[in-house]
Formats: sequence, structure tokens, C-alpha cells
Amino acid sequence: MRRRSDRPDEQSILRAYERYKEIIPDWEGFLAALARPVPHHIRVNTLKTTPEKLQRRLEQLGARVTVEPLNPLVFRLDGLNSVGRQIEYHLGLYHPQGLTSTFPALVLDPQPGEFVLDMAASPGGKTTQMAAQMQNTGHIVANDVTVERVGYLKSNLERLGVLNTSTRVGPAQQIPKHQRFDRVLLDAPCSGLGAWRSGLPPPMGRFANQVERMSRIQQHMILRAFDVLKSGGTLVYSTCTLAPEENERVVQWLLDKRPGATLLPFELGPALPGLTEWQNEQFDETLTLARRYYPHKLDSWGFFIAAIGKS
Amino acid sequence: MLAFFTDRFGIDPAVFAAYEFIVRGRNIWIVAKSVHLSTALALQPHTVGLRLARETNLGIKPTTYGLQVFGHYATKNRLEIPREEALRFLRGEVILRRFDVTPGFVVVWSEGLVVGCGLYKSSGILESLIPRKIRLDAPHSPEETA
Repeated sequence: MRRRSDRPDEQSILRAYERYKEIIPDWEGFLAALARPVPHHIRVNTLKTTPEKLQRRLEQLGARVTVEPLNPLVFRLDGLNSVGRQIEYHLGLYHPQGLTSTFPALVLDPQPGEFVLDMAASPGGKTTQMAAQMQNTGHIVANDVTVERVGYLKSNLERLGVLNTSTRVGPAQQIPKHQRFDRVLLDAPCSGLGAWRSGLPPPMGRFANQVERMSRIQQHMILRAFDVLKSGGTLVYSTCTLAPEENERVVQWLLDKRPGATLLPFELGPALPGLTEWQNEQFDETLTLARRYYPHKLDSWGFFIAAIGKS
Repeated sequence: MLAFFTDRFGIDPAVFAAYEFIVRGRNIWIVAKSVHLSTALALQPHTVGLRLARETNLGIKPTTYGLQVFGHYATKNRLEIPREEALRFLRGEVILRRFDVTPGFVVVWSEGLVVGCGLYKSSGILESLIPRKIRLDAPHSPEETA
């Protein structure tokens, strides 16, 4: 385990963000948000309880519960230590999950009975959220790259009582091309620049070469995600990073390689539109339909979400 | 399989009508019926659905996770413990008390929820069958970040 003293100092982490200063509005506000701890959010598992029942139980334990208006199945918890040590956690009544981390599945909106692919599923917050949206019907294929990562996924599927999901181990870009899914979620592995706050382990994205490396992996993944999507289906591409190399550039790659791909509009919370240019790179005008979430505009993790249709 | 849950816990077989059972080795998995299931199985899955039970030398043993989903339908061999005892049960501790159940596997409840699977012995011993890796004080999988 890495000791705090082994970590790079936070000034060096913050310098990595300066690369993106020109695209982040209110830079000082952004830095102030990074210095604050992220709120404790949990998502109600409607496969096992209701928001009202869970709120009552948590308040009896001394928690102050704030229902998040952008997703009423997400509670902000104050005054309750170690959300992962309560009986209610062990019985799968909730899952610790950032507010913005619940947005990709909300945008994808999987329906009961559908066939859904979660390409990079571990540790399973979004998979289990989709299982609840689908009321444990239809089928989700939840893929991740190693047995260890699928182990974390499996333990959360079990704890939350998910009955409509199979797990698969292997690179997502090797899912056979002839398969067809109604909806695909690609919450891609990323450099994590949106998922850092002061005191947390440093994000991989502090190294520019890692951002480039992730971008290439994501480009492979998004093509396969699109190829296995049914005509008329929806693909949601999301990351928890702010880097355009891993966001707009990846979606642009898809638009260039697959003419049938189109950006779909959605509105969810205080977000900024996707970029149409960055450092001499031009992106399609429709990238403005994607959404960028910043921690100083919405007190949660930074996220990028694009909804993509297939004609 | 269905006979075990009916005989031991009084669960109506109709509860399982929307599911399929898949036997892999000694494990019995339960998964929602779906027209997409055969396609998913062709993708060489690592796991399918939820592990409901395991065949042992002593017969069928239900899993804690299976009972947390289907134990609500049990009409017999279910028992209730208060929250403080449920915390101990989730830590894997033995509860010493007599319950009005038949010795064997039991559905353990607390505060209206199924806590897990226990083994009740005629001498008034309730053993926790919560797997070690998911006990209350065990290191668990990392909490979700983003």
C-alpha cells in the first residue's frame, strides 16, 4: 500500500490540470472544488428497498439525508461514518456511488427486457444501477478485463441482488463483432482527472503520456461498442476525466470511422457542452451535444458523457 | 432444487417461475429468463446470474445472497434476531439461543430484512454461514469512486 508520504505533492498534481486551464471556466473555483472533499453519495438499490424506507433507516442511524434532485435515487449522506460498514450496505440496500457517476446509466435509460452491454463494468455501480432500471429483467452482459476486476463486480452484483446479468472476462474490444445489443454503455477506463480531490491517490492523468495511452485504448473500445450496437440503438460513452484527448477526440474518431454514428441530445443538470476545438484539433459541431460536468459546477466527480445513436 | 426450497423453507415454487437454473460444477445459479440468455451464454460468461445454492456432501446448501433475495418468501424455518445480534451474525459469530425452528439451514431475519443463511443446531446454537470474505469486518471491495 502506498503511504501518503510516497505520493507526489499536490502542487505537482495540480500542475497537470493546468494543461486544461483554457477549457475549464472559473479556474479558481475549479481549484477550490478540488481542495474540498467530495460529498458522500449513495444510490438506493430499488431491487431491495424503496427510497422512503432507506431514508428512514439511515436517519435512525443518525445520518442527515439529502435527496439529490437530479437523481432522487441518490442520497447525500452527512453524519454517518463508513457507509460501507453498515448492515444496510451488507444487505445491498444501497451502493456508494457519486452523483455524476449515476448519470451515464440515466442517459442510456435501459428498459425492462432489453439486451444491454456494459463494456467496462467493474466495480459494478453502473451495472447494478442498470439492473434496477430494467427491474431485473432482460439481460446485461457485464464485461471487464481481468478476473480480479470481475471479482469486485461479482461481489457487488451478489450483494445488490442482481439476477439479470452475466459477467465476462476479457478485453471489451474482443467482444465478437456479430453480436447485437439494444444499448451499450462504455464507461471507459480513463486517466481519472475528474475523480481526484485533495487527499486522494493521484490520478493517472497527471502524466500526459498516460492520457495519450488511454485515448488510444478508448478509440479501439468505442469502435467495438458501436459495432455491436443494433441499428436504432443507443451507445453512451462516458469517462471520469476532463481530458479532451479521452473525450471529444475519441467520439470524433468514431464519427470519422463510422458514418452511421450521430450524437444525440440530452439535458441533465448543470453541464457545459462538449468542445469543438482544442489545441489546434477540430471536432465536429455536434460534439456540443455531449456534456462536461465539472466539480465546481456540480459538487461531485468530473464527468464527460456523450449519447450516440446508430442509423 | 425447487423441492429443497419448498420442503425446507415453504417457498412456493411459483416464486421461481421467472427464472432459469444453471448448474456449473456443484454450484446452482439462478438467472432471469430472457430471450437474450442463449446469446449471452454463447459469449462464454464467467458467471451467470446469482449463485443460489451449492451441492454439498450433506445435501443442498443455500447461499446467503440467494436467501437475501428469495428468503422473503420463506414461510418456515425462518427466525428473527435484533439488530445487535444481526451485527454479530454478520461478523460470523455464533448466537446461543433457542429458536422454534427445525435444526438445519434457516433464513435469518432482522428488522424486516433477510440477513443471511444460518445453521441451527438442536442444542440452541445458531451458526452464521456468512462467507468470511463478506463479513462485516472483512476487507471488502473498494467503494465506488467515479
